[in-house]
Amino acid sequence: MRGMGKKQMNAIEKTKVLIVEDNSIYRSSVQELLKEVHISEENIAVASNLSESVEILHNQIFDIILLDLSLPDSQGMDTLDSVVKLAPESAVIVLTGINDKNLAFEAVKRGAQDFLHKGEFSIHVLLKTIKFAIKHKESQEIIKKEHYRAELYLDLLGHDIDNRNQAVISFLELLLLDKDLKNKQKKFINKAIEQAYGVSDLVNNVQILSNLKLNKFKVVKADLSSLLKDTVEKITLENPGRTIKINWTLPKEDSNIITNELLAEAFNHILSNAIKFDRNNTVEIDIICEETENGNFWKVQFMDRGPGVSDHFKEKIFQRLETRDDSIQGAGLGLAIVNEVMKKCGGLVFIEDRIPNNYRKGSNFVLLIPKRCA
Amino acid sequence: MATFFIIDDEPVLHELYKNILELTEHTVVGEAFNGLEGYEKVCALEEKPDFILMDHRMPEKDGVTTTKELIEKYPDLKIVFVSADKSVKELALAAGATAFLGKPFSLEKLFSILGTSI
Repeated sequence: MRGMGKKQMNAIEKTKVLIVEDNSIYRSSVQELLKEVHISEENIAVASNLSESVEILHNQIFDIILLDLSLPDSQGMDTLDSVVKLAPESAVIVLTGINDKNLAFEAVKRGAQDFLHKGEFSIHVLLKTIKFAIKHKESQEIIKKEHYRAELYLDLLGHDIDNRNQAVISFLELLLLDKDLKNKQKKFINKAIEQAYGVSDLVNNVQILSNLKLNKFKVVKADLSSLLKDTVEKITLENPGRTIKINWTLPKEDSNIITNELLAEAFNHILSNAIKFDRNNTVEIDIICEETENGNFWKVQFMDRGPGVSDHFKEKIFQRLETRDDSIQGAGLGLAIVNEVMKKCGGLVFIEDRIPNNYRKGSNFVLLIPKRCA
Repeated sequence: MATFFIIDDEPVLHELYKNILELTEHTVVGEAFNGLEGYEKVCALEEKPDFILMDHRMPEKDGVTTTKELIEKYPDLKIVFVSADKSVKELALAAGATAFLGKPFSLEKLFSILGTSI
């Protein structure tokens, strides 16, 4: 072809193509077009129905499959699903009628790389579509592999850190049993233990976030009041050095919800932050749980007496994952998890000032939780 | 006091478990560094240990499979599953483990599961 470099021509010559099309006249015309774009004849295979395609795909790998979805033995998306499953490494270009625009888009959503309207394309369009589909498929495969690798690293890292931390924490705990230790030494050892747990928590949080992003979580039945009380009980045990005072306002009736299994985890992060950043001797938090007026949501508020969050950071503080803004680098992943849990269940989280227009008097973390997870 | 068998591929954790258990006057009667070795050694023991501490991710045979095989042969064995992989908790309990302990755990938690204290 004119205008095509030798290298590109070689690449296209070696492209292996399968045409799946039941109309023999149309099949031959596509075959001719492929020859015109310099695809060697021996690299072109044809099938006139799904069962023939299945047989061919069992024995050969193709770069491109030109696929008519309406075959005598298979129709529509079933055809596509079967072919994608059999040839996961091939780029699929769906051949559709001119009026099948929705079908074409649906096919791309379900794993085809592109589509061509039958009888409506020139050699140039065919060539461009083939090249683009191959590139598109390559990029998708790279993303898939990188994704898998990131998950694997995270999993291995998390596992091995917890193993090492087990030794660090337990040997320090054994050291604490020494009766001759001075109080100051004990204090330092306890600090080190606390930090080691912090490292495990950090990796655990990254794993939780990663699972949330991948929609790997369960939807469970729960009682909101019990969930809140259990979380407070757990966090009180985890902070033996602090006095925690909760002012409860809970609904009198049942507070059943169907929600993300990580909702308690979200409560836990809000409360841990409140306890961590409040430097008063007694940490006082108001927890208010009430129905919204329309009856579809529970509104849960956590009012702390910590240092507060200035207006500038009120939104940013939840966006740790969406931005590389250095000013929020200090914040942990806890609030990003809260935000993600709420997003995944169709809810919302935001911060207000406990005392309006005076953020230094503490924050009010407001969660709007749907009674039924979206 | 109770007898223990340790199955874990991390040598430093063997050292740790031995230190903890000796401190509480328990005895370690044997140890293995993968599931297969663990299975064979426990089977060969004339007198079975009171407790087995079982890791999950190990070469040769993982902890869940080893637990399943040991429990099938000796249903009375008490296997305390100890793993950094919390996602296998349900599998471990279904395989017959008496308890599941996620790493990192505190000594207090370990003792509460073993029903002993220092």
